[in-house]
Amino acid sequence: LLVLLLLMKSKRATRGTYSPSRQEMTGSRGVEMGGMLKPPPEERLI
Amino acid sequence: AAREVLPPNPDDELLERASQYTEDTVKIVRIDKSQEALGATVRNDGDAVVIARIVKGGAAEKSGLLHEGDEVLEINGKEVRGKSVNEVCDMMAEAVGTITFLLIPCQDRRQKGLDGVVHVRAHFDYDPLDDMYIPCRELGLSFQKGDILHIVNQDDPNWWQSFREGEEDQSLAGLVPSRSFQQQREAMKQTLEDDKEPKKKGKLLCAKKNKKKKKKKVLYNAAQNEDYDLEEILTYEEVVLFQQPGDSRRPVVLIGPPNVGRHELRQRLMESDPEKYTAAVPHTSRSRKDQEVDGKDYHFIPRGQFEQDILMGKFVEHGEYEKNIYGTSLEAIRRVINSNKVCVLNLHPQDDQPAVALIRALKILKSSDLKPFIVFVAPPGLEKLRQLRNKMGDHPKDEELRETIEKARDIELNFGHYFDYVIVNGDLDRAYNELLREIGRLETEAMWVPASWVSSASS
Repeated sequence: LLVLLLLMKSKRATRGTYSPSRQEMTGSRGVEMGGMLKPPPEERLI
Repeated sequence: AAREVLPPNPDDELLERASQYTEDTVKIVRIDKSQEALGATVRNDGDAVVIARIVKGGAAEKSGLLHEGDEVLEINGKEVRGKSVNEVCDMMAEAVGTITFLLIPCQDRRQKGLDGVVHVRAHFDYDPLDDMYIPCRELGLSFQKGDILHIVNQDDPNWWQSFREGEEDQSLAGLVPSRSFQQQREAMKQTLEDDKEPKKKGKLLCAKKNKKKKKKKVLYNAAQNEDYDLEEILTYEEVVLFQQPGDSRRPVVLIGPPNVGRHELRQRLMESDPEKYTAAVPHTSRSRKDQEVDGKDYHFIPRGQFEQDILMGKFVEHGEYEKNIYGTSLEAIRRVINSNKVCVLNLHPQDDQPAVALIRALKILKSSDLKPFIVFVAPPGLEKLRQLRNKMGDHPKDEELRETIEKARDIELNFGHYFDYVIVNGDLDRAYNELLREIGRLETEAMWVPASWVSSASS
């Protein structure tokens, strides 16, 4: 598990969650997507 | 202001600081932390840092001292308000030993769900790194079609906490999309795809449409049939562990493309131990020949009754040969089971739409009380398949071999969620031994089966 977490962390570092193209794709569909497909507030593990 | 203070003898300094907050209730909580995370997540709510989730298996959950909705004011004397969750995460990553939290406890604590574990089989692949909607990426649990998940917490309607079978040493539960979230997401994707289609009918028509067609290809024109809903959204299937009783063995059902060696596998089983492995006696509408015995060679029934029984779903499969109907009934399979033998079925349902017939057969079997063990026999690569067929005495053309491989791929894509086991038949001896081993496992090990099979029997 630790390895997985580390891996995820490193991926996180290089990738990040900000993805403008995706946001554009989903954002333009605003209404019919409803509230559900809005990414939730980010949570971090402590 | 009332102050709830835990533990009983906190240092004065801490009390002093706690009293500076203007909120009605401030709580002091101490939890021992190892190198591993406490197993709680935090989110930002304006300036505040709020406990978002308590994860099953971690120190936070075991202590019972942190709750979802609690606002964290301080950690080890350092103010946290105004910090981003990333900063808080970094702070905590370094901290080991007793951690002191200063909290504003959440006022309306939602009633927590029951603690029972639900076991499900996943019918889709999931990669949290690819999911922009997962609230906490670090906690994401990846899985593949067929994996068994132990769902330990369903408090969040969108995200379940889960362990994946085979990784029991993992201490913290992981997050997976809930059934309803996954359904909504897939439904949304489908509407989006449908939406897009008319727009594309412009310039790029040729190239893109072909691509799409390939992806969404529907087998043998099956879509027109109402029985056959490929569009059904596959998420999770609830399962329970089931050990087959010694006197009522599960039928073994071989499915796969034609000419992949299923017939040979079944033949070997039945020749190796005729006392143990038997085929179900088929029905036929043709008239009995002199040397034939009713109930042994075939069950001979009039065509009219046969057709009626088919409509009533009594037949797993049926087909026509020289103007007569042949078929395998649930009753015939049950008779083998009741005689304490392993019924070996080699499904090759015939229809003008083979995929429709196959799904009908699988559905009838699965919704019966027979508890079938479904084995998919898959072809190896082209060259190996050729060698296999040569050994079986055929010399097929490449085209035919490719067709076998393609059909296998289609079956796997569309009916993969029905498989209990997959054998790649690159070598008949090896595949046979693998099949024997799996049948042996059925006798000694409890296996995951749909929960409906067991609960409906006991209620």
